[in-house]
Amino acid sequence: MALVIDLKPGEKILIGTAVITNDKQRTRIHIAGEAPILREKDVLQEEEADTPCKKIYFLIQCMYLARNPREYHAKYFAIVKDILQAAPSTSPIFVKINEQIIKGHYYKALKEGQSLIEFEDNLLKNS
Amino acid sequence: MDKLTLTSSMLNKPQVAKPTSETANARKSNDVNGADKASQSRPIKDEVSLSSTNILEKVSGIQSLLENVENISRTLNMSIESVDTVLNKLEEAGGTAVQIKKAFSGEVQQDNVAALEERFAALLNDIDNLAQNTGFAGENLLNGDNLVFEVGSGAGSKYVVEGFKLSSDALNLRPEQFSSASVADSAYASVTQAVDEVRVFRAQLVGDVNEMNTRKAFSESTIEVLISSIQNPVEQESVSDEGAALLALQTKQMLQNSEASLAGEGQKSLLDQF
Repeated sequence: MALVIDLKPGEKILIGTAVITNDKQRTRIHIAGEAPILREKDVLQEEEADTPCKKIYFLIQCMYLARNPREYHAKYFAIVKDILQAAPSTSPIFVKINEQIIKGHYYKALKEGQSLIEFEDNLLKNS
Repeated sequence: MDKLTLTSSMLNKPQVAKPTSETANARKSNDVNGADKASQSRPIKDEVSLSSTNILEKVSGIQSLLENVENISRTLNMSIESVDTVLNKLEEAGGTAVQIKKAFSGEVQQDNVAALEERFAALLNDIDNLAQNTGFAGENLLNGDNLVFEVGSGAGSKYVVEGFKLSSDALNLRPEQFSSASVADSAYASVTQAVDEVRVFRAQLVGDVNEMNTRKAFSESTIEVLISSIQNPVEQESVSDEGAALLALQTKQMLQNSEASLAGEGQKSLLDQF
């Protein structure tokens, strides 16, 4: 079943290895296939990844886009270990993220990554 | 990685708080600020932390995902071996067609044509046998069946490997009456085309194996990290302790910040377009 995405005027979307910019009108696109899809609102740039959990989100994003996601595993797990050491209560979210990655569902893993960032935000506010 | 055996002894480790140096520093920092943190010192048990037992259950779930991934990988590797055998047979058939062409052009003795013709037919027969008999769980990837594997539970947890018909008929190859050099030439062209098609299919299977190996490595690292978190437990006493430790980690990462990017070149250039 094709994925249906509504793009706002000027919104960008990554499909596979191409970034598409919508023109001035609203557009609905139907996408079938297995290519990575990333909407502009879900993109996190490296310079914005300024907390441990945002770095995790950024690395999931990189794995999603990479031809060989394995190149990110070492960096990813090094940060996961540090976070679990600092905040063991994040473990249920990591379990969910990693289950999605093992199933090949990087987009869902990114969504869990957003929950992780929100959770981290709450912890940091309480520090 | 060797399979991990989950034992109750993993749960018997004393659950002693082992604050990291970052945590200690962060606590110190809080004390200096003198802020009243009493309201933020809720016991961490009120949050959603996982007990060791729960983590072991999760590890067990990930182990079964890992087993599924390993099964898929094994099946794919067996299929690749069969495809390689088919490719060898096709290359030999191509060589045989060339020999027949040479026989007609007088480069080799023409009495060999009958034997070569027989060899060509035998090779196609071998290919048909391989295509028909390389089945897994009632499905035959090499006879055009798709293999559908369960990678977990829930929607979208299936992994589909697309099949390809490898029979001589499907590859447009048939035993020829080699009556002339042009018939041999045409047979050679058909074999070459079949080799190209089978190589594309092989590349697809290799891609699937790579995908499974990536998932396997990720599963193993996940299990290792979760087991390690049970064996070396850190119990922060409150939400504010965890927040302070995270803040300390953030500071440590900022201080360690080198020029090296987390992203590889390919992903960096894609993200730069946003």
